[in-house]
Amino acid sequence: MGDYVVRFVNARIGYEEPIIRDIALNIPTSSLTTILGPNGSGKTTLLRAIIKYARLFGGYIYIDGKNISEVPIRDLPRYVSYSPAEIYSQMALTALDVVMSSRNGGGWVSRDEAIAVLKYLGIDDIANRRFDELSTGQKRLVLIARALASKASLLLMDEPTSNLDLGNKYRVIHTLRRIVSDRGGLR
Amino acid sequence: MIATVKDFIIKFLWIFIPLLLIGIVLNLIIGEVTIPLKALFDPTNTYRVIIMDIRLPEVLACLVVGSNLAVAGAVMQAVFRNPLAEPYVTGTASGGALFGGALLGLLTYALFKVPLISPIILMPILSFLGALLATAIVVIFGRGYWLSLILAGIAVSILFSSIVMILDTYLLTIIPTLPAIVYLLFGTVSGVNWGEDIVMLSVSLPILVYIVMSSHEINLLMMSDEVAQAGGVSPRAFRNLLIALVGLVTAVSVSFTGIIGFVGLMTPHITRLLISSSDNSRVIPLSVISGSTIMLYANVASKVLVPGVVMPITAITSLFGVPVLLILLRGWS
Repeated sequence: MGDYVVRFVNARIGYEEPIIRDIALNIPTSSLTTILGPNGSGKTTLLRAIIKYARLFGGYIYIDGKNISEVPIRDLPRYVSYSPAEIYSQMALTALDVVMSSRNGGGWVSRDEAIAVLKYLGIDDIANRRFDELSTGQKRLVLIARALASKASLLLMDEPTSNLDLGNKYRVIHTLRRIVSDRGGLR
Repeated sequence: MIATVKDFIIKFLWIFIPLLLIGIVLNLIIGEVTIPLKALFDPTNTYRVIIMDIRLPEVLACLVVGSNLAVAGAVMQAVFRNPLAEPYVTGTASGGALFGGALLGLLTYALFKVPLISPIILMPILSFLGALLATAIVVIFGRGYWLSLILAGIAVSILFSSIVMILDTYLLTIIPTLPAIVYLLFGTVSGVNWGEDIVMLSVSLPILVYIVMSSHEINLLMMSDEVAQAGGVSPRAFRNLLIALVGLVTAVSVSFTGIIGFVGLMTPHITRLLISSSDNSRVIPLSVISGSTIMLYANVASKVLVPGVVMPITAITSLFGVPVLLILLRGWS
């Protein structure tokens, strides 16, 4: 079980029709894995397949050794957390609200847990700032904090470094590396 | 020390709870007959009848309809990720009015040759079908750009309102005894009775409780579909469920009090502004309080602006709601 956090076995995935065919992929546990590819090559679809948001036409996908076809949507948060490139944030949510919207198994992340994660990432000073007024780099870090707070063994991040300047790109990647190397202690 | 959301919520309650209580008292004493404040506690027989049979049912209707519209607006704004969404703007209300009122008249006449069989049960059911139909049309045609939802909603509203007017005129010519249903387009709580209140309350209360309890899941849906799905909430199923529930509370309100515009639009925004947060676990329950309060004062205004005449409540709520809509349009375009 413990060797691979994600396995794709001859998976065919897409929406109305398959757009990624017969993919085999093993992602080792406690690793930082990057999926690279040109625009429209199906990177987001691959991530969406793991959260069952894209359709699986054939083959298997396993998270933590569990066949996702057998995982009901309500149990997904026990296995995976998903951090999108953007969230709808026209309305006033604080950074803390965003982190506290993360699942913690069956329940929700508490205020203390959320603050602990923001502290861990060194951004607790922006906890009460409005999310939509943060810089793109800060938003990404808050979304990473949100994913991290869930304590799921798999953190999926869609385009975590897009639209960032070099310094912020470095900061995000550095943070992700640190999470992976610390992960044992954090769980 | 920066003020936190908790401080704002306390301030919000300090403003709205007294306003709400004063609003209730004002509604009890103001009307065709003014009841002296003292008489509220020791009413004469005439006053007792006015209070128990007329004014209290109206107050309860204000509370239920205000809560329903406010929660419907807050949920629609989150679910459609659109700050302008609300039952009036998205055509839900006028769809309900068409089916509830106009079709009820036609249906009962065609079936029984007698106008209006048991409208208290049939009205909400037909209104619900109409509300869902109108919302479905708006969602299908208003897909894509955020403004198209609103444009489709306004188009459907106008279409359904005009159908109500045509059917109403037609029905009155064939059944002169039929009470006019055009009132459904204007909105009023006057004349609401206890029976109607009980129907409204028994439909709305369980739904409002469920929505308040689901407010964290609504937050997920507000952020993005993928976030909801990974958070254990199937976005399509949950969105459809919420649209149906919101359609139901809107329909039951429209059935008995007609279309009351913009309460659903402005109330959640006022609440968010005052507590400086869009967290639905706070916005939705607090909007129940602010929505009820706004309805109470709108009803008082509808009774006192022209003495002796009860004005359509929509005329009052639009007076405040339309500027809010215009400000939002400017801010978000």
